[in-house]
Amino acid sequence: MTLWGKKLKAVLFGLCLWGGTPPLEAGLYNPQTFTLANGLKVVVIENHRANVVGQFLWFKVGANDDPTGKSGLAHYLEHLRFKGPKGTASAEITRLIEEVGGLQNASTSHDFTNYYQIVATPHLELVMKLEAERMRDLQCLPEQAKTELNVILEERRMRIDNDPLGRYSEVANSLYYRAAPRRLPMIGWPHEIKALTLDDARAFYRTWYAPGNAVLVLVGDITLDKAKELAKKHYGAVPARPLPTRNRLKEPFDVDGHIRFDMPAEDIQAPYFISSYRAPSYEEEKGRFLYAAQVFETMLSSSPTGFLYQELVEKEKVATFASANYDVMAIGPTELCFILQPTPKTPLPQLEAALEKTLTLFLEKGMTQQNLDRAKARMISTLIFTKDSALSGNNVGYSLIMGLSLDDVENWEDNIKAVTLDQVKELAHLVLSSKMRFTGSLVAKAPMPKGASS
Amino acid sequence: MTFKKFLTAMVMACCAWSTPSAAQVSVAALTSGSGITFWFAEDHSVPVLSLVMSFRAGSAEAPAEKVAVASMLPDILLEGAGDLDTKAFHERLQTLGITISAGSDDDRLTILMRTPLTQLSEATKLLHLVLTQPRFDEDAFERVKAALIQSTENILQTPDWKAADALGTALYPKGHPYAAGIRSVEELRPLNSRDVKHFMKDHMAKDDLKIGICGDLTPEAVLQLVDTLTKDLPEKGSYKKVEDVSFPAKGQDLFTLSTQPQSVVLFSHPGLRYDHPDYIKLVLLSYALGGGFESYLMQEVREKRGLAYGANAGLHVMAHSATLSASLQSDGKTADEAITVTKGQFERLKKGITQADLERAKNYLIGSFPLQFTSSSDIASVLHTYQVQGRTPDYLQKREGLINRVTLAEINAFAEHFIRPDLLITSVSGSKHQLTPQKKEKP
Repeated sequence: MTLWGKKLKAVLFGLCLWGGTPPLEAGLYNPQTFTLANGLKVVVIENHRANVVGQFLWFKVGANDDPTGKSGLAHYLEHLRFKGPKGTASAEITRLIEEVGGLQNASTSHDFTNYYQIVATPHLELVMKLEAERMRDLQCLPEQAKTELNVILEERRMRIDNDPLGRYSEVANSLYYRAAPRRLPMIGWPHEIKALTLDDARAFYRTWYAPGNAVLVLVGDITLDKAKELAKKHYGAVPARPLPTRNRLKEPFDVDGHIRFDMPAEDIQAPYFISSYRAPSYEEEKGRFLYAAQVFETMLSSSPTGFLYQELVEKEKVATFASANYDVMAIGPTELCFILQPTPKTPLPQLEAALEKTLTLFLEKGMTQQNLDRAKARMISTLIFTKDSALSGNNVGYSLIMGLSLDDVENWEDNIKAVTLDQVKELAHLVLSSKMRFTGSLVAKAPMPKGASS
Repeated sequence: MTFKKFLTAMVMACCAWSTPSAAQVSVAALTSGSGITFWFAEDHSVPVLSLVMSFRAGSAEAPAEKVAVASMLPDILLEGAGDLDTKAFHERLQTLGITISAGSDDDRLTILMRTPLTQLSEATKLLHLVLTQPRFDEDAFERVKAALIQSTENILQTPDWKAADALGTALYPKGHPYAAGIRSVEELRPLNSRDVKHFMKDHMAKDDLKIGICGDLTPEAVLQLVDTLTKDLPEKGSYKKVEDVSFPAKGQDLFTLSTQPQSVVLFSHPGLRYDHPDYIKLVLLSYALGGGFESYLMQEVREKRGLAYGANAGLHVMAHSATLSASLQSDGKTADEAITVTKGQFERLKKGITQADLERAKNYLIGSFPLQFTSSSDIASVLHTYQVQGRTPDYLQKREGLINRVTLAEINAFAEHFIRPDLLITSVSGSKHQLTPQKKEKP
């Protein structure tokens, strides 16, 4: 259900600390930071492993900021920022970066939108110049904006309409959340996408794409001095703009009840079982459970060593696939979501009962000091590879844009180590006793009776 | 080559090569004491080691009636080895920060290993166990089989699979190993662990082993590492004689029905193998056609007409076949238009590209090269891939020159005779909107 689960995991595992040996700098990512007069925050993470540098520009705005009735607007704007009259940075950015062999893309999430380019070191100034120029205004032409709506509808068909799990998640989110914007699809409902206009995008752009609402992360083969010089030269000229308060609809109180959604699909043969529990997000609880949630999720879900896989797949042999995803880095409400696939012999009600039993067992017997220590060891063991990958420092941008501090990023290992068994127990009981539950299945559609027309 | 004096074994293609990396990395082809040749990038920038190795154990090597053994083998290899069962094996890996993963395609089974240098001896021990003493526990086998059955059942419903399967049937002669594939879960049910075990014994051998390594080791240490890892593998595998595939002499339009609203469209055109003298020319042409955002396909299909989110082309080279392939996804109502536009771009390619197209392609292929060298696992993977392609380490130096040397006159002369829009095989899987009378539905 949480489409960004995979990304979240990759990101959270990257926030790290590593005690290295020379010639590497000891310790952290060693982020260095400065802020321009227009409010743009710049973070520099040096890694001279390769002659490659990445520019990642994060804006603190996403699909959850779409105005009512205009779902998909944040994502539409992201597309339109690659268009404009010939000669403008927006129109030329893809061509100019491809010409130097660079990689580039952009993505929109619930809470952020980001744009990035990865190039060989000598081309850093080119990408900074282009991205800074593009930041001044939205350049897209009306006919380009119109054609792009079709591109987005095709993107929607690919990600949602052609994918049974995509279709299921979209409905499930809108059933489980009553007010919070995550009840709406990030890419937008088709009828609302079709009605989006260039004016909508321009208004959204002028509201949110201010330098003070962005974090620029420069990672790789770069120095702080060079970063300062180039950032001032190119981004310094982008005018500051006032920002509105980010005011989102809040989810009301939970009710005691079970929401159930079973979806038959022609393109499903082997069914899925889905179950969600309300869980505190980092933002709701002011960070109280941020680290405990990561340890809890690892103890429960990491495959094949986690409790869930061990019980359901290895011991009980009722599932072939078992995942648990706790999207703790959310602004607003979030959930612990289980997605399971039964073995060919297991009826869904039996799998559902087995999951209940497993979670009870986890509360009673699964949370031992040994399991806690193992989970922490797993989380920390691969930290050295953040130094091995020249561009992994970009994860810092995600943390900052979600509201964490550089200290939070630097102290991740210590914060994980400091999680106690009691904290995980408290959180596990809180989540698994949540009264507003969601359960459902995605199943094969029964064949149509002979002679019926479709 | 400063480390040459350390080598007890022969250095095959002694070639120090500086990657485009700040920390100078040299790449050499080495041959271990027991005769295993591999490529190594000595890289002391971070205390880690990455290794990629592969065997001739892809699905083309599997018995025709038991193709799935090749898909199952990489999964089974990771279900415990020696005295470590699945859980104990993965607990060890995860606690020590070691990654071992495996996968396979039509030609090869590939294993990746990545470890902090501090855990190298344990990582070596674990990988050696995987290569030589996987457990094949009945429990684990049934688990892997059940998971394969469940995922296959759903994959068979996707237009992506249906279009690819129809295309494969048209591209490869009946009975050719590339034409085989899992087409029903019923083929999977009778498989047993002995089938997979035999397949492993016959195919995971020293005589078709490719290894790429990058990391913080000396050449003598890495020679020892390779010997330790491979010493208990069989000397020779027993392989099929697989014929090279020649591209069908006539173009075709194929259609399969699927329930999803968006159609998947795949195009196949003759390609060239890595060793062909015109290979680089075709790489440049395929980039102009469908590589990146400024390509003919992205501009005509997406940017101008909004007919698809993505439309791409690239070379698809296998051990016994090579195609220039393109693909797109478009709504059932617009897919026909997208197909017409795409076929038109093959016609345009035949007439020749512009100087600007050629420069754009050259600049991208040369400029993007350093981006493949940003981590030890990326570097190991590049070194492995070039060996599978049959290259020598000096290709890393020669590559830029080979690209730069191509002239507009040459490439357009080549395009004129090589690009054959009449040979295109187009495979669509989509909704019934596309069922026009001239197209036959394939059941």
